[in-house]
Amino acid sequence: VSDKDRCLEPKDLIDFVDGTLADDRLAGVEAHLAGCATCRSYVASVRAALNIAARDLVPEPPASYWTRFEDVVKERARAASDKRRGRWWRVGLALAPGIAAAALATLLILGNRGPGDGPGPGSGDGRPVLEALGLAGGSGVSAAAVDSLMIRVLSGLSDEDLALIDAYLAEDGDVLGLVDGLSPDERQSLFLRMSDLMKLKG
Amino acid sequence: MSELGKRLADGDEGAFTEVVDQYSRKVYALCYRIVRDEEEARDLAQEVFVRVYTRRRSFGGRSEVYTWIYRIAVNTCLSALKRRRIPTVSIEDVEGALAAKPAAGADCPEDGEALEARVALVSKALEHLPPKQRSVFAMRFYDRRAFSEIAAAMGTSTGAAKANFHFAVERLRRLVGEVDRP
Repeated sequence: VSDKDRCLEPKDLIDFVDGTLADDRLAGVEAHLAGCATCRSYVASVRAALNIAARDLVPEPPASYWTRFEDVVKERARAASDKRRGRWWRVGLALAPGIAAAALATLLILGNRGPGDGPGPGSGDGRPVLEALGLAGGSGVSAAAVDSLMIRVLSGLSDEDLALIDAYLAEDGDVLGLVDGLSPDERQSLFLRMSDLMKLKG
Repeated sequence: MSELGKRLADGDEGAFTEVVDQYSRKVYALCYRIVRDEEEARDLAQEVFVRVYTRRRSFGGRSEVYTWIYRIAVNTCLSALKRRRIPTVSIEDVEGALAAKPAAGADCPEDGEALEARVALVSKALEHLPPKQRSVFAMRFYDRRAFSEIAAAMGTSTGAAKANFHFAVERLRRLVGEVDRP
């Protein structure tokens, strides 16, 4: 006898078929099914769907895929590590999304400017940023101070840090948008400065 | 932390080999069931273990090794689907296929050809499931993982994992019912 108003919730019937229905409800559901054709039909249709889904097989890769699996993984891990280090200047910018990245870019631009240089991005009053980073105190920022900062930051990075940052870059990949406002010359200058720092770190 | 997890976190190469032996096939199968593309799944399974290898020292043992690996696998596959925009089958495609095959297998449910057609349609239906539902369905139905493990791998609650499973099963049930309808 089917009683629509008293039919069980689909999720309970799915759990029943899946074998995950709580023990204290099992007997009640079985008793209901004995007297409800609608729910029995539902259970049968769930079983039919799952029986067909069970025939959806995973294609087996060639044997060579498995025999070389670990070697390939380690080769890829090494290549990824090299690539990450090659992109370390992006990592530097990505270290702390937002202010720290902008601060580093600002510092680097300031570090490349002489006292007589004209206005432009990074040539404003960088003092709050410098103070925040513990580099204020003089009339300007020396290249050595910038180098020191970058080396401190980079030498603290482990492979795991780099992997996490890499994941961040992959997710949000627009870190370089932070320096979009720079002129081509300023970008070139920034890149050269970071390349120099990379040599120092190496 | 399990013995294997501890050795893995210590950088023991032998432990990594054990992890590969134990989980590579399962991870490949999970990747395939999420991205539904063999070549992509092969690449992603390796990518998962690249991440396991490079991050092994940061494995803190807060979860079991397999939960940690499955979480990396699910995140890697979902990111790949998002980034590479692997085409998924639209509901219109599935419904169109169903409409073109009325009563397939209705007279003889176990007939080889009809069954093959139904399996193909369910395969399409699985492709159409939203990626999270597909991930949960794969871990629960094919890998028989507990919902608590699935929730940990998905970074969600057990209730949400169960709800995703229910939605997935209900959708498949409806599609198979459509195929069988005379």
